[in-house]
Amino acid sequence: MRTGRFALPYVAGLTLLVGIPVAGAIALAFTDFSGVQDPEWIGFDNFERLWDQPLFWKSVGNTAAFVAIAVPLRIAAAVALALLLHRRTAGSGAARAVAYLPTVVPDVAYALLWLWLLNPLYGPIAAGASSLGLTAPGWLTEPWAARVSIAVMGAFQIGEAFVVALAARRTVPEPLYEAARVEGARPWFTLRNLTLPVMAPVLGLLALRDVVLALQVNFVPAFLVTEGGPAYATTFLPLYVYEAGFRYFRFGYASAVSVVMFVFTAAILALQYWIYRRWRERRWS
Amino acid sequence: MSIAVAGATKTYRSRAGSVVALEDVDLTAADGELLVVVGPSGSGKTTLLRSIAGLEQLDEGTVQVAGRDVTKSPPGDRGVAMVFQEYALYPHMTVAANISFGMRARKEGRGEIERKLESAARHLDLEDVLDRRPNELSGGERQRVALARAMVREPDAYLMDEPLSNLDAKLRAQMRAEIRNLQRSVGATMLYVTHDQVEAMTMADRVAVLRDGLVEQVAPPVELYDQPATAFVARFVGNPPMNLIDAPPWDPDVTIGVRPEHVALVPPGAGRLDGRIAEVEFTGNESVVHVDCGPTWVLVKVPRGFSPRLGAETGISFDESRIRRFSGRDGAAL
Repeated sequence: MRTGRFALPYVAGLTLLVGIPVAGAIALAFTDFSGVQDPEWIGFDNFERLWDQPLFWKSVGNTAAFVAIAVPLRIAAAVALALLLHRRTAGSGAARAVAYLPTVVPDVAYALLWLWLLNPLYGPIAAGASSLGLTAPGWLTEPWAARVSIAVMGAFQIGEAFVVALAARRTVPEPLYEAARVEGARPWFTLRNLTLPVMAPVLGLLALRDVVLALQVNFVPAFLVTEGGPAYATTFLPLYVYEAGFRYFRFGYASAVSVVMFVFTAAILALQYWIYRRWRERRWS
Repeated sequence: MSIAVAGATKTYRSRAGSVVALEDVDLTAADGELLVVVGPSGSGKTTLLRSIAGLEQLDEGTVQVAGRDVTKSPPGDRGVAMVFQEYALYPHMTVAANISFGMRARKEGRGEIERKLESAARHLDLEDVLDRRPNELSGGERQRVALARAMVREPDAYLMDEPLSNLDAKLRAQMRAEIRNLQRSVGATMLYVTHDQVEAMTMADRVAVLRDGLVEQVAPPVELYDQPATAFVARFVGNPPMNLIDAPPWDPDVTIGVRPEHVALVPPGAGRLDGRIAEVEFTGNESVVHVDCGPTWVLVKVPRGFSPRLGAETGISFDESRIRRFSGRDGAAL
C-alpha cells in the first residue's frame, strides 16, 4: 500500500487521459453523433453498418497485410542490426547511432522524405533506376507496391526494437559460443540453434509490441504519402477511422470501428502468444 | 592421441600495455595421458588451453593434435572436446539436446546420435535427467552433462578448463575420481587445467607447473613433490608447502627447501635453528607446528598426541638427506 501511493499520479493521469476517453469512445460507438447535435443512442446500428461496408473490410484486409509484411520486416531488421553491431569494435558506436537515427526523425518529416525518395519523376530511386536503364515501378501508384512501400518505410524506424535486441544478444554468454565453435557448429547453425532461441523470449515480446505499434504507425505515411490510395490500397484502419470521424463527421461510426480495431488487435496478440508458447515448448526439447 | 605444443608464444596487447601470457612453451601430452597444467591465476594456463582449442591464436608456435598440425585450423576441426569452467550448457535445451548439439551441428546420422547419446547417458548416469533443462540440474549433474557432451564428440583429446572449480569440496573430490575413472576407461588423452594443486597431484599422470607464461617443471606428481625443479614449484606443490629458508647461516649463498614432514622439533640448541612455537594446527592424524625462527617461520609436521606448548623455546633439526638447495638468484634447484 505504501509503495502503491507512488503510482497514484500515474493512475490519475491514466484515468483522466486514457480511461475516460476510451469509455467515452466505447459509449459513442453505440450512438449517432456528428459533433453538432447531441449523440443519439442507436444500439448496434454502427456495427451492422460497418459489417456491410466493403471499404471497412478492405481496410481490415489492408491492415492485416501491412502487419504481416511490416512486423517480420521490422523485427528481422532490428535483430539483423543487433547481431551485426553488438560487438564493441571501432566504429560500432557510431554505427549503432546511425541505426537509431531514423527513429528520432519526426514522423511527418520522415514521411515527406520518403515522398521525395519514391517520387517517380525526380526521386533519387527513380533516377538511379533510369540511369541503369531500368524503369522504376510506380511505388505509390500500384496497390501492392504502395503497401510494401509503406511497410519498408516503417522498417527503418526500429531504433527501440534494435536497442532491445542488442541488449538481448548481449545476455547470451560468450562461453556458449565458444562451446559451439569447439563442437564444430557453423555460424548459421549457431544462429538458429543458439542465438535466436536464447533471445526468443525477448523477441517474442518485441513481436507482440511491434504488432500493436504497426497497427498505429501506418497512419502518418498513409495520410501524407499515399493518402489512402491508390484505390484505397493503403486505407488502413487508423486512416479509415480518421476519415470517418474527421472528414465525414460520423464520430459514432468511427468509434465503432475503433472498438473493432481494438478487438482485432487483441485477437492478433492472442494468436501470436499462442504460437509463441507452442514454439517454445516444442522446438527445443 | 597426443597433444603437442611447441614454441607457443602469446602476448596480449592493450592500451594499458602488453602482458605476456605464454612464452616459448613446449608441452606434450602422450597418448592416453592425463596431463594437468597447474599454476596461479595469470600464469597462462587457460590461454594455453584455449590456444590448443583454437579459441585463441598463438603469436608464434605450433599446436599438434594426434600428430596433425592444427595451428591454423578452426576450433571445430581440431578433433578436441572442451569442458568449460562454467560448463557452458545451452540453457534453452534439454540435457539430451545439449549432449547431441555438436553431433547435430556436424550432421551425424540420427541412429548414430541416438546410440552415442544413450551410451554417454548410461556412462555418466544421466538417463533420468535427459528431459530436464540445465537450470533444473544440480551442480554435479551439470558437470556430468558437460562431460557427456565432450564424450559424444569422440575426440582425439579432451581439454578441461578448471571443470571442478564451481563444485563444493565434497562433490569435487568425488568428481575428481569420476573424471579420472572416465579418462582411464576411455583411454583418453586429457589436458586438464586447474589452479588447485591438490587436484593436480591427485589426478595427474604428469603435472606441468606454469608461472608467468613459462613452464617451471613437467614431472609426475611424486617427482614434483620430492624434487621440485624450482623454489616456486616447491612452494606451490604440497600442503602445507615446503619450507624455504633464504641464506641459512651454514649455507648463506642458497635457499634451502625442506618439507614439513622432514623437520623435527628438538631441545633448544640441539638443532640447526632455534625458535619459538607460534602456532599449532590440528589436522586430524597430525598437527602442523609453526615455529618462529626470526626472519622465517618453519612449519613442522608432528604426529598426533604430541602437543607442544605455545610460546615455548625449541630447536629445529632437518632430515639432511631430504634438503633441496635452490639458487638464491633464480630459484633453480642446484
